[in-house]
Amino acid sequence: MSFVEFEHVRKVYHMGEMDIEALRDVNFCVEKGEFCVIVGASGAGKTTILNILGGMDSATSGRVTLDGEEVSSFNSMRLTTYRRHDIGFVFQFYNLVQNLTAVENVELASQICKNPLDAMSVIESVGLKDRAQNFPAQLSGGEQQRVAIARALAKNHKLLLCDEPTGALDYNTGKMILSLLQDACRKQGMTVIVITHNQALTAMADRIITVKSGTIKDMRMNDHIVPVEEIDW
Amino acid sequence: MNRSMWKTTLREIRASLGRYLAIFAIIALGVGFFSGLKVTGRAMVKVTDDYLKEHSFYDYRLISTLGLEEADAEALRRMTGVRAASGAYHADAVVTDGSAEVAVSFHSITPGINTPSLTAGRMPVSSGEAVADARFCSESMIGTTIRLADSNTDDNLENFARRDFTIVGLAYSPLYLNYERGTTSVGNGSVSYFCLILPEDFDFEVYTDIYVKMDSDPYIYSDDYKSFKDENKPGMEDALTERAMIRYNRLYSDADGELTDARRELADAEQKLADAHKEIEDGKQEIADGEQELADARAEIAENEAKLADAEKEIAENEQKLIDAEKEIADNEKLLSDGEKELADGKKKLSEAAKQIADNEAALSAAADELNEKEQLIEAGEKELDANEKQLNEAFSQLQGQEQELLAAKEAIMAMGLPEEMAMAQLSEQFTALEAAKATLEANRTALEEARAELVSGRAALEAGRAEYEAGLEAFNTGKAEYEKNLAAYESSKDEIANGRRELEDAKLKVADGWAELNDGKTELEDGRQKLADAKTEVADGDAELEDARKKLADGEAELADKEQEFYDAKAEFEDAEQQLADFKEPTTYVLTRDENIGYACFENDSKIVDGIAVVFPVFFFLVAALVCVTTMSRMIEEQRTQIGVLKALGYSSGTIMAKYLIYSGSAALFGGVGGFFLGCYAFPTIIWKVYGLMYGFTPIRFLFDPVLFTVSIAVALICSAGTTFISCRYDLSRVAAELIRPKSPKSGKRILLERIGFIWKRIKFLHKVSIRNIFRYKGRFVMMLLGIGGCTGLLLTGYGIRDSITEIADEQYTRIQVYDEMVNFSEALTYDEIDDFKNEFAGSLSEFMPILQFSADPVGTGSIRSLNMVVLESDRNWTELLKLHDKKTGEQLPFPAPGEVIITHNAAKINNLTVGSMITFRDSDFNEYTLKVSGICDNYFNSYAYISADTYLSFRPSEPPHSIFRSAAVNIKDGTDLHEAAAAFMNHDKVASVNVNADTLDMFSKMMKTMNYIVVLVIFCAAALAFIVLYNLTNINITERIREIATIKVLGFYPNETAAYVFRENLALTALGAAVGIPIGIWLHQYVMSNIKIDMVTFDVHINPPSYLYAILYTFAFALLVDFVMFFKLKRINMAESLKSIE
Repeated sequence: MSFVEFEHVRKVYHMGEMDIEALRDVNFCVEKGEFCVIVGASGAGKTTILNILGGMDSATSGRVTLDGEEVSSFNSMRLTTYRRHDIGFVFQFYNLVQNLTAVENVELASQICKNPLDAMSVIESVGLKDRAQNFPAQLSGGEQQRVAIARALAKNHKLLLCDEPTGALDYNTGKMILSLLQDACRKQGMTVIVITHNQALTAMADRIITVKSGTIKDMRMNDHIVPVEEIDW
Repeated sequence: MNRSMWKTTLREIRASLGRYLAIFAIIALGVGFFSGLKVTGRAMVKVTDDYLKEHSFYDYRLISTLGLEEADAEALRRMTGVRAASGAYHADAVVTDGSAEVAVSFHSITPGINTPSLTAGRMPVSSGEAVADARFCSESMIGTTIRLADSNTDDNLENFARRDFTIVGLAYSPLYLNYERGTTSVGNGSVSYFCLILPEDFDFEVYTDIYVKMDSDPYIYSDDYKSFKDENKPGMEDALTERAMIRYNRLYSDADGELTDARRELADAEQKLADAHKEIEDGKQEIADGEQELADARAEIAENEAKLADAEKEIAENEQKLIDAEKEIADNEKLLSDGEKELADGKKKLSEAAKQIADNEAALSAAADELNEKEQLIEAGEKELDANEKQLNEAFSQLQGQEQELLAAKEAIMAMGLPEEMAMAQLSEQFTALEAAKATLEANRTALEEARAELVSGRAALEAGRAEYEAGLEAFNTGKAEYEKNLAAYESSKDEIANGRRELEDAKLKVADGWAELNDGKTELEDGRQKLADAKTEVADGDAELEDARKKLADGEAELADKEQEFYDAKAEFEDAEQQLADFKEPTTYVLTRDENIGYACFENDSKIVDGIAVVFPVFFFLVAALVCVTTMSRMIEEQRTQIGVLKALGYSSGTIMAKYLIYSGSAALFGGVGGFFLGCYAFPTIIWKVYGLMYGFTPIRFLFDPVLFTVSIAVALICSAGTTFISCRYDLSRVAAELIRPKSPKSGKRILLERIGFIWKRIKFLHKVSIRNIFRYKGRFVMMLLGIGGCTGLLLTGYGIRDSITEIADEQYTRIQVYDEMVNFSEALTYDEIDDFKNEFAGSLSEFMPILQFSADPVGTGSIRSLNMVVLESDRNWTELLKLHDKKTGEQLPFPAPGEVIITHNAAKINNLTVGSMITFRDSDFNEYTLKVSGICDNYFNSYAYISADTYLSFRPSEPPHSIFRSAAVNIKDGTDLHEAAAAFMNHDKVASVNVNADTLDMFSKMMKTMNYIVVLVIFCAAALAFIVLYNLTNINITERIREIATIKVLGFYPNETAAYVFRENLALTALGAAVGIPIGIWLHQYVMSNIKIDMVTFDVHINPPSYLYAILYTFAFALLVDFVMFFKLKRINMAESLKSIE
């Protein structure tokens, strides 16, 4: 049994009188410790997959399991706990709390989980030791995203979900963030799932899942993993 | 504005209905509060003005010490500018409903002026009907009868034509606008309620007042009215003086004439009295005569009685006599019949004797023959046997003699009563002897021959026989003579018996006559007796009559004594009247205006209180409303920055874009303003009028629309909303489109001051640090929260404070100041002996007792018209057990007032500008003046009192009897005795007119004061609305603004309650801060409001109880939590995926 499994997942949004089928018959799996990239055009449904997997949304039908637990059957309370202990998120727009310093943003997450890593050391590990006491508004985009990653990592959880983590960043910064994510996967053995519309990023992934029109178009293992530094886009 | 702009505006409203409604609500609240409170005072005055106009409240009340007449009223009516003038009667009396006695003010119904407003029942139409005070009487009183109590003085009762009145209706009178019924000299000194009755039920000679209503009706309390009143007053005074003098002059001359008449009448009366004396003397003589007559009659009766007794005795004797006579008659009859029988026997014997006589005659003749024969024989025998025959004849004669003897013997024997047998036996012997003789004779015949010889002897014998015969004849003749004699005796005794019989018959007749006579006598006796009884009855009647006459005489004498007394009284009266006329002074007149009517004067004060409160509250609410609008609209415009930029980029003018927001906020403010205005203008006067209903409430409040107020309110509301919108918009609209389209850089986090104090900051929990930092992140919102929540707490505190300050005064008054249990009011002033008797009688239930005299007095020359109660205290012996007069400032018990000193209550000191040591003069209702030095100013909440000692009182009233001045007593009841049972026992005492139980008064006041809870509820409601709107609005803004942050923490796995805590911790912290700020606000606001509420009768104890602080804070938190509770669901609904998807 795989670490992450999607079986016949379907998601329908009710927009007034209209039903929009965001996902239909999605099936894929990701093994533990893998660096997985889900790629697809805008509106293909990749964020929906991430939201369902991350416990922010629930599937209309089908089965989603993580590490043997059936996420799709969780109620909202259980989902919150799931988010709290099992999932780390990294968003395109960082979503840091503006009123908290970098290290406080990390603490915000580490406050509530079972085995948190030390906030300061995580900040250090993402290379922001000097900026730890700065407010987000005083940090650059890359730095903010690194804080976001640090916040995710500090929770010491099973799965890191990243939604277009480089979308708002320039090329070099993006690369740095990606290498940070790759390090987390390779060094800490964390399962990382990155969502992106950028095909180029697939080169660094262990597993590449292509989404199109709300369903999985292709899922393959990457035989030629390219280090981040060598990827160009 | 084109169609799409309208559309977007309307959609905006629909999409953000919560925000729209928040503006609507805060404006409605602000406008409602402002306009409602503003209009209340005016509405109260307006409704009163209408009421007084409708009921033709007087402008002037004219009083003359001599009273006024219909002619005076008529003269006043003829004055220019006078619409109506009506004479009125007014008298106070103690009234009883069968149990309690209360003082009641009676007024005559004056048509067309001071007309009452009926609330139940009907107006009186016939004598003996009354309409009672609607404020103090319940509808259950209708149909009941009240009676002027016996404890009224005669002077009081004389004012009324009757004593019983049936309540037929309840009404308010414009003369009594408020609850105050004034004081009086009757009963316990305070009027319980008023009654309106028909003029004819009064028995006054003159009107006590004339009420005048002028033609024009300037608005009450207005300057117009005041100058109108002052302008017309001199004219009124002149007219009144003139009329009063006319009356005086006439009265003087009338009285003079009357006195002359009275003098004559007195002389007549004196003459009549003398006549009456004479009459009585005559009566006395008559009675004496009657007495003599009766005595005579009695003597006669006694005499007759003796006579009757004699007659009775006689009759009894006669009866006996008759009975004896009857017996005698019977005896005589027997004798007669015996005599008759004897007579018959005699007759028989006589006839036998006659026969025997005849026989004897025959025998004699035979014997004579025989003798003759024998003589012949003898002559023959003589020839032959003269001897024999002579013998034989001799023998025979012998024998004959013997037989005769025998018969005689027999008769003798029989006469002797010897038995016949013996006679017969003797006779037979004789006969035998006779036989023997015959034999002898035979023998002798033989012997005759012999005896021839003997014949000669025989002849001799014959001669002897002849002689015997002669003797026999002689015997026979003697017997015959005897017979004759016996016959004559028989005849005579026969006659005698016949006579006896006749005599007997006569006697019988006489006895019968005697009986008849006796019966007649008896009847006569009966008659006599009857007559005697009649005579006795007559005498008894005569006695009774005499007694009556005596009684009548005594009555006559008593009457005469009364008449004499009357005469002397009349004479004294006459002398008094003469003196009075000599003393008769010219009348004093008074022209009183409406200001002298307590209800009217108080109402002006009270309506001003509301105006006072109306000053501060609305400003406060408008301030909050403006702040809420500013925050809400600036937030909205901030949110819509991009849209504004886009619209600008599309080429819409700034004006058009701004119009959207102006319409948004303006329409909310307009609707809220209009709604709030009408709601406020309705609710506030209604509620406040209801509260004031305690004191007024004579007519229902009416909705008053004030166009100016409406315009101002709406304008201010629009300025608050649209104005702030305009300012917020103008800043953004001044930027170029490009700048607006770009997202505004998020406001940077900042360190706060507290963080620099490391040792505290480090100890604070992480999430708390976040909250603390957030609190200070937005200064404006922070201030608004503090203001809103502080305002809420302040309002609550004010509300509770008002209640504390007002509702507790009754408790204070009766448990801390007037601590006596009951006030016993006597029907008259009691002497010390009577007081001691009373104390002894109730020694079982009384624990403390202090005689008191209370009367009302007016301060002189201080400019205040408020009368106060003078309380005369007997001594300082136990006064502190019953009355605790604390110094207003220090709270210490004041010493007993020394001679010439007075302790005055705080409120009275205040209105008369008195301090300790100042002098004050009071004047009582009899115009006695008391000039006193203020020795202390005491705490007091109800009424105004001036306490003096009995010594002080007597020093100003030297003519009062020093041993009987106290008409009341303050008493304490022993523990364990029921207060009401004790009061009832007192009431049964004949000297007790009424008993006031303080616990009852306290209970009544407490109940009245409970109405104050309306105010508290109103304030709590407003505070809740304020807190809710402010908190809801700000929390809403806060959440909307930080939606990404909240979504983020939700994504991070914060549980809903953790998320809520993250957000609401700030709210609660702000609530706590706001409440802290609110307490000084509340204290100040409470002071302000209370300083604006001035009621003459009552002094408030301006304070806030500790629990009220707690309530205010708890309520504030409760409202905050309520808002948080509502917001909790909004937090739950935040969609993480949606919120995090795009950048703001």
